[in-house]
Amino acid sequence: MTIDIAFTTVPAGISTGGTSESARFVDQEAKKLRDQLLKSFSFGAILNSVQNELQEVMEQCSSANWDGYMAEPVKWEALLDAFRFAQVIPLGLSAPSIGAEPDGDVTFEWHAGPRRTLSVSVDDRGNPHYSALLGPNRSYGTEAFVGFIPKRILDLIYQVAAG
Amino acid sequence: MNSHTVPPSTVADDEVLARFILHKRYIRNDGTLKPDSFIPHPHPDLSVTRHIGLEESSIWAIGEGVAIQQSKTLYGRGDVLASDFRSLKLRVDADPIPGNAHHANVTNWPQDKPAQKMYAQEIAAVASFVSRPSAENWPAN
Repeated sequence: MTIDIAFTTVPAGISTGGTSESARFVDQEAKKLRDQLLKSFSFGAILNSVQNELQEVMEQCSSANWDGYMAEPVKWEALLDAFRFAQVIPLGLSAPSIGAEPDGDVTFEWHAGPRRTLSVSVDDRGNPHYSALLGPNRSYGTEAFVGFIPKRILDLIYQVAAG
Repeated sequence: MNSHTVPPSTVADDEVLARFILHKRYIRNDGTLKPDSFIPHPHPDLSVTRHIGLEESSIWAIGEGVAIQQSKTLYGRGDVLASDFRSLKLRVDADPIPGNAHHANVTNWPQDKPAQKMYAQEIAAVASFVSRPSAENWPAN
């Protein structure tokens, strides 16, 4: 089975949230800019890598007991939400490693060391659950995903991946 | 000591416990383990094997047995000290089962998902991944 959802066909999730003509213009220009960046070699390669990994996860984790410890199959809705999540990852950051958890959620991991690491799980209701170790500190919780990466998670990605 | 020998009924803090890895994506490119490999779902407990008294070959034999039973490939094991689990307020209890007298359970996991992820991250941060030896390097009894 192949996934025929290209990143560029999923709504970009970049929006001012405004309804005025000016706001719509800004949204359109932001989307154009992002689409141009996606076509560039370096940014496009990263997103292609994420897309390929998501496809591998679907292939390797879609049947029950894929981990040998009775894991649940990765849920289709979680995969779709993971695609949407991947599409709004800030351009220019290192690509996360994609995996799955035994409850069928899809995971994105940014890992720079044992104590500089972030794991985000996307479930079938679109809620990202996150946990990060940053030196002696721990940060974890659940946020709502409404088309853009929640600020708390974005901050953690920057601290781990761009730090 | 082979895998049929009965180990002490209490798991000591300095005991090494193995979590067998049967899914390749749990292993990072740098040879460390992702936290996903230590999340117990759907079980309330994490199943591990105690090293105590076992030769290397016996530990791998138990892992191979688990993999064969589940029709999976054994990729390696994650070794963690019992004290590392306990420092997170998790419990480690001996739980001998048919075919593995060295079986133990890590219990008392938090119920909510983000906290469970954090615990798994802490464990992954201290775990040592040991690759399954190739056939030519398989340890002798």
